[in-house]
Parts: sequence; structure tokens; C-alpha cells
Amino acid sequence: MILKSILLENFRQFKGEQLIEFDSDKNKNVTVIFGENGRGKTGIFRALMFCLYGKKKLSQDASVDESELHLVNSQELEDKSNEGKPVESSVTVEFEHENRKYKLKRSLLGILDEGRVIEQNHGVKLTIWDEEGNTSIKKAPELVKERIENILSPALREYFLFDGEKIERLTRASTEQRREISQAIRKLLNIDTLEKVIGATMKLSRYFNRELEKKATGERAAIMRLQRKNEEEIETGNREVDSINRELELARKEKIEVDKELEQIREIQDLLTIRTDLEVRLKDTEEGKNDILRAVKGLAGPTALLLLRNTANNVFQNIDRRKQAHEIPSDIRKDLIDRILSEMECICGRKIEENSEAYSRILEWRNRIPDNVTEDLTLNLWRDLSSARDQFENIEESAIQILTKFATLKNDQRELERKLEELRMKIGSSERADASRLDAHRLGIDRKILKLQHELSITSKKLDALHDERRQLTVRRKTIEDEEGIRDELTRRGDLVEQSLVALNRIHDDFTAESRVSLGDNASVYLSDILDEESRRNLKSIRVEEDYSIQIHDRWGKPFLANISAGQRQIMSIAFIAALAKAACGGLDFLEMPLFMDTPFGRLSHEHRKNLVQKVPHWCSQWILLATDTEFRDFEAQALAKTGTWKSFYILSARKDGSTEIHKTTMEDALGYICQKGKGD
Amino acid sequence: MSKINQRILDKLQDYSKEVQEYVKVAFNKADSMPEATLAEEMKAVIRRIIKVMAKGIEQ
Amino acid sequence: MYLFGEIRVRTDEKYKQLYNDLKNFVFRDMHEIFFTCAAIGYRSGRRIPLGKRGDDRFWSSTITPYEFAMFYSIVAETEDMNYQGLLDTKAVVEVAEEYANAGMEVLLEEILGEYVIEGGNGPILDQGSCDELPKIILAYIYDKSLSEPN
Repeated sequence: MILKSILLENFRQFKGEQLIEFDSDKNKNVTVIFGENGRGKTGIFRALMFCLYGKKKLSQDASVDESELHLVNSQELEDKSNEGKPVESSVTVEFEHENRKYKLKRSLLGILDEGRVIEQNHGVKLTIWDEEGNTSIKKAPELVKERIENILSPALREYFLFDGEKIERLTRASTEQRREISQAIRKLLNIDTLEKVIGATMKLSRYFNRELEKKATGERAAIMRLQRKNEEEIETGNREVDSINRELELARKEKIEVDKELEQIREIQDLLTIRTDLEVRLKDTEEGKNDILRAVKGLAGPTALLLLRNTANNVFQNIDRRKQAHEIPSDIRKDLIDRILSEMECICGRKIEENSEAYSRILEWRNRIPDNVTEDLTLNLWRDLSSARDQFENIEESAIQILTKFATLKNDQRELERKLEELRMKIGSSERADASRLDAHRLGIDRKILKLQHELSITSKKLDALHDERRQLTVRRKTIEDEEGIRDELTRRGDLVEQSLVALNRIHDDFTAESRVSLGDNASVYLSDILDEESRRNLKSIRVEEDYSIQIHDRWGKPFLANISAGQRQIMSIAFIAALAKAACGGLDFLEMPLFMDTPFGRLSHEHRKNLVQKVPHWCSQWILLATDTEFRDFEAQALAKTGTWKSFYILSARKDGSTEIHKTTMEDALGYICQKGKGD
Repeated sequence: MSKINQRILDKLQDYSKEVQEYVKVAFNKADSMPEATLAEEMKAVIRRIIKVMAKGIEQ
Repeated sequence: MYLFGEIRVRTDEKYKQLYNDLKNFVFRDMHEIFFTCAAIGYRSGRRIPLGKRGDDRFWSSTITPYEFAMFYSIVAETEDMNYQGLLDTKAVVEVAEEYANAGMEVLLEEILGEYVIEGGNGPILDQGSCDELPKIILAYIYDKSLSEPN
């Protein structure tokens, strides 16, 4: 799919008609859209989503009510409301796909009624030109939807946009990260039907177990009662988890509301900005600590080797000495010596006298030499100890490194908490009573969130134990049934259901596991494409773990997430999103879809920025880079220009009435403009 | 039937023919009814599969 | 390990749940816990036979070559560097079991005790207080490796 252009009419900040034409030549496929925050960069992406799918909300709008999202340009609404006329707002997208040209226009009508904005859909029109030049037009929303979804599967639309927040969400092994990834995989696999069948089969399983329990006797009946109790407890546990998650969601929404109110209070706005910054950093430290705690799990066992360092050295040196003294491996075989002793004759033919010195020396020698089996074992031991000793230093270093890092983070955490407390007192004691009240409320919500997270953790672990118990009960029951040869009709039906359930769950797990592996492999390829040289030497692959968190492995295949920098994290996240997009595209090497990246440069080093700018244009058919003036400066512009893939530059600037105007310039002019802007700072 | 279903059929080869039959029928019905209805319909299907299996053993 | 046979490695039955908990919260696998306890026990110079209180915990085949090399080294050191004793794998494992048994006691005395509560059959981890336990245990092991053995 190649995007040709997007025409905005009175949509969001864009008053009147404004056009963006996307670069789509084979070699020049990068379009840069440039503007300060709030000028409408995301607005362009919103326009695309609205036009293609009729979607008003983006994933970043999760906490906003749809009725509060206004798409019609407010300046135009005000102008027209004086005349009592409604405003037509529309987005027209032109694109090409598989030799056909498409033009899709979706419209809204808006009117300002006594201060309230009323918007309604005003139709959609899809015009299609085929290769012969024949035209067809579709206006029915369902037909348009069907057509568009055939070209761009709904799974794809999640990956059009790489925004800073999505990139950030994926960098830490948090619950959000895992949920995002597991949802992505489920969507990509379309496993709704499979899950429906599994659900129905589980219902059947419960039904048959109840029936069987009515008929069962003795130990079998007892186990079935336990199984039912276990099922009920698991169900209760699941409900508890859902309920806690819902409460967490509500608490978070409430906190956002309180923050909005606080922001209105001008007196404390600066303090609020500082507080947000501190809270972000605190969250970073906490997540850093969690990363380390996960990494530590793999270190405790190996570190215990250090406890026996002395013993290992002693034994190693002992065997080594004996090797040097040629006692091991013995130069001469024990059974040869035995023969000499029994025949009392040396190999050279000399007779040996009993009680002579020669005799006792030979005897002594024989006693020192181990037999073959012991010899082999001792040599193997020497080899293993030698190899283990080489590891001691590494192990020690890893332990010191990670303990130091943890201590640093803990200190940072304490420092940040202290600062936050100070800040809180300032805000809380401000002259405005409402500020203090709101702040106290906010603190209460924070405490509630912590408590809920703690409950969630405990309940999850309880559920894990219950699942273990369920597995054990199933095994015990089967044993009894086998032993008692219980084979009546009802049991057979129940067995079939159980076997089918096992098969379905195994298939479900296989699919998701295969997806995880393939995502990890693809992400690793993208990663090596854009990592800087030094990182590339050490960071080798990305894996999606069984719990759907992302892990990065070093060249020895050891998990390394706890040790990477914020910039490397960001690169990892971008590589991963690209892998998701690739999966959504059917797994082809080249992404036949436009990638929108919203301010991806964030915490990246110069080399990383250069790599992104050089490599991403080759990943996909079109790259639309949405950038701010703080992110996209002379360095980035020059690096991009050198690739020869960039043609158009769009500047979003503010008009006097607050709306946004789109200016198109060429790349050459853009370079001048950015250079000027840089000097102006 | 979506692409995924072919892969499922492949993976089912590891299981008994009764299980394969169950899963195939379930998938065919799944698109057109909600989960609860599907469960009810499959009760009859299971009875049928087991009866056929029993006949097979007797012979 | 160098010789054949798979043996069930045993621990005191009262530590069954604790081993499970530690596997979930602090270590990756049973054999790691066992090895750490054996190392601690040996360094403390304490060993406690299992007697009748022994319970199967895991298969010997999961023990890593390094860990087994250390067990052999322990036996060799206690037998004055006579390597004949290493031939009897079962006996080597039993020695490790005794040190691991004592080692767990030491571990509980010196650090873990603060994080456990009494379960029905023995100590279990107090899940509410285990957030930083992996790091605490790592720090303990590392510190101990720097000090002089008993």
C-alpha cells in the first residue's frame, strides 16, 4: 500500500483545505513533517485513521471519553456559528495498492450549539480506478469497511504509528508491556475462534465432571470433589484478578482527572512539572530495580560456586601436582606392575627379591597409581575444575556489577522519594486550599494503587499454585481410573473432552510460542541493523519470554536487559515494533506499508540517530517522520539528506487564530530552515 | 475458514481420530454461534463420536 | 555424574515447600538451591544426615558439571585427596545431601529466617516480604565467599 496524499478540510487544527503529498518513489520514500508539540503532527495521523477506519480514538486516548474528542476545527466552528451554519469537515486519502488507485473521503458535520460541540458522521465515499481505467464507487459504510480491511488488515493499523509513548511502553518489563505484546500476538494470530472452541470445551469439561462426580465413589469421588473445589478457587481467583485490574484502571483514570484539575491552578504549575519529572524518574528507577531482580535470579546459583573457590583450588592443584609427577595418568599400567610383582621379575628380565628395596619401591609405586576408572574420573575432574576456575573472575565481576547497580538505583530511589516528599509538602501547603485538597486526594490514590498492585501480585501467585494443584489432581485421578479400569460410557465422553482440551491448549500454546520465537528473531535482525557498533558487539538477540516480556541477550546468550542504557532500550523497542509490523504484514522481508514515526529520536545517541535515518527507509515502502524542532536538527537533517531518500519537508506552523498551517518546501530549503532555526536557539 | 485452521488441522495429526473429529466439528460450528451454544451442540457431537468409537471396538 | 545412573537427590521433608518457594522467587532451579546450601554447609563445617526425614526433591541429572565437580572436590578434600571415594556417585550425592541439609539450616539462621513463616510442615517464604529477596540472597552469598571459611 502506497500513500499518495492526504487532504485535510477543517479537521482538528487544520482550518480550510490543506494538503500533504507523501514521497513514494522507490528511492525517495521519506517525508518529514516538522512542527512543535501541539502543532498537529499527531493530528495528521489521526486524520489518516479517521479516514481509513472511521476511528476517532487513538491508543493514546485510552483515558479520554469519545464524546470529548472533537475532530471539527474549532476556529471554523466559531466562525460559522455566527452565521448559524454547520461546518463540513473531511479527510481525503489517496493511495495505491496492487495496481489500483483509491480515493477515500470521509466527512463529518459539526455545529456549535450554545457552547456545546455537536458532531455527526456525514458519509464516506470510496472511488476505485483499476488498471484499465474503469471507475467504481462505493458509499455504503459496510462495503467501504470490507474493502479497506481487505487491503489493510485491522492488525496492521496498530503498527502504522510508532509513537514515543508506545516505544516507551515497550522498553520496560512491566505489566503494560506484557499485556501489549500478548494482545498483539493474539490479534496477529486471529485466534478468536480457537479461544472460543477452547472456552466451549472447558464448559463441557466442567459439565462432564459434575455428571461423573455424581456417580463416582470412594477415592475417585474424593479427588473429583477436590478438583471441583480447585476449579472454583481458580475461577474466583480469575475474577479477583479481573476486579483488581478494573479497580487499578479506575484509580489511574481518577489520578489523571485530579492531575488535570491541578494543572489549572497556575500558582503551582511549575512545581507540578517538576513533580511529573521526578515521578517519571522514580518509575524508571523502580523498573530498573525490577529488571535487576529478574536478572539476579539467574546469578544466585552460579555465584555460589565462589563459596567453594578454595576447595576447588586445593583439589585442582593436588591433581595438577600428580599430573606433573606423572602419577596421573600413570605412565605405566597398574596391571603391568601387578604382573611384575606376581612373577617377581622385572621387564628387563632381572629377578626381584622379596623384601628387597626394589620390591618395596615397586609396591609403593603400585599403591600410588589409581586404576583406570579412578584415573579417568580424576582427569575429568581436573578438566572441569580448570574450566570452573576460569569462570570465577567472570562470576565475581557479574555479581559485583549487579549489586553495585542495584545499590545505586536504591540510592537514587531514596533521593527521588525524598525530593518528592519535599515537593509534596510545598504543593500541599500552597495558599490555594483546593490545591492542598487535590494533592491529598492524589496521595490517597497513589496509596490505593500500591495496595492494589500488591494484592494483584499475591493473587497471581495464589493462582499459580492452584494451577499446579490442578495438574497434580488430574494426574492422580487418571491413575485411579486406570487402576480401577473405569471405562463406562460417561467416562469415555468425559475423557474425549479432556483429551480435546489438552490438544487445543497445546495447539494454542504452540502457536503463541511460534509467534514469540518469530517475533524475537525478526526483532533481532532489525536490532542489529540499527544498533551502534559498540552495542552490536555485545547485544545479540531479542527474545519474547513465556510471560510475554521482552528480553535482550548478550553474545553469550545471557539475559542482559538490566544492564542496557535508556538509548539502547529505545532502539530495542523500535526494532521490536518493526518486527510486529512485519508480522502484521504477513512476515515479508519488506514492509509494504507506510511507517509513521512520531519523535523517535528521544534519548538516542548521535550514532543511533544516524543509523535509524539510514536504515529505516529501507525497511518499508514509505517512511513518514514526524519530528519536533528539538529532535530534528542540523545533524539529523544532514544525515538524512545524505541518504538521498528524502524529498519533501512539511512545516506545521501556527496561524494567528491558533489553527495550524501546512507549508511544503523542498529538502534543500529545509536544510537551510533547520540550520537557521538551530542558530536562533 | 481462516488460514490458521489449516495449521490446526496439521497439528491435530498427533492426536486420536476422535479428538480430530471433535476439533474439526467444533471449528466448523464456531463461527456461527456463541460459545455457550457451541458447548451445548458439542454434547450431542461427543455422544455420536463415542458411539461410533464403541462400535468400532466391538467389531 | 561421570558414571551412570540417575539418582533422586533428597532433602529434609520439612524443606519441601521452602525449596519450591525459593525456586519461584530466588533461584532458577532445585539443583541451584541444593548446591548453594551444600556449599554453605561445607564452608560452615556442618553436616546433618537426613536419616528418616529425607524426601525426594529432584533428579541428579539436572546437576551441572561444575556443581558436580565441586561435590567431588568436597569429598576429595574430606578424604584427604583420595580419589577412590569419588567412584561411588551415590555416596558423593549423600555427602552433598548432608552438607546441603546443614547448609539450609545455616542459611535460615543467618539470613533467610527473617523472610519465612511457619507453614504446616516446615518453614515457607513469607510472600509479602520477598520483593528484594533475590538481591539479598545474592549479596549474602557473595559476601560469604569473601570471608574465611570455618
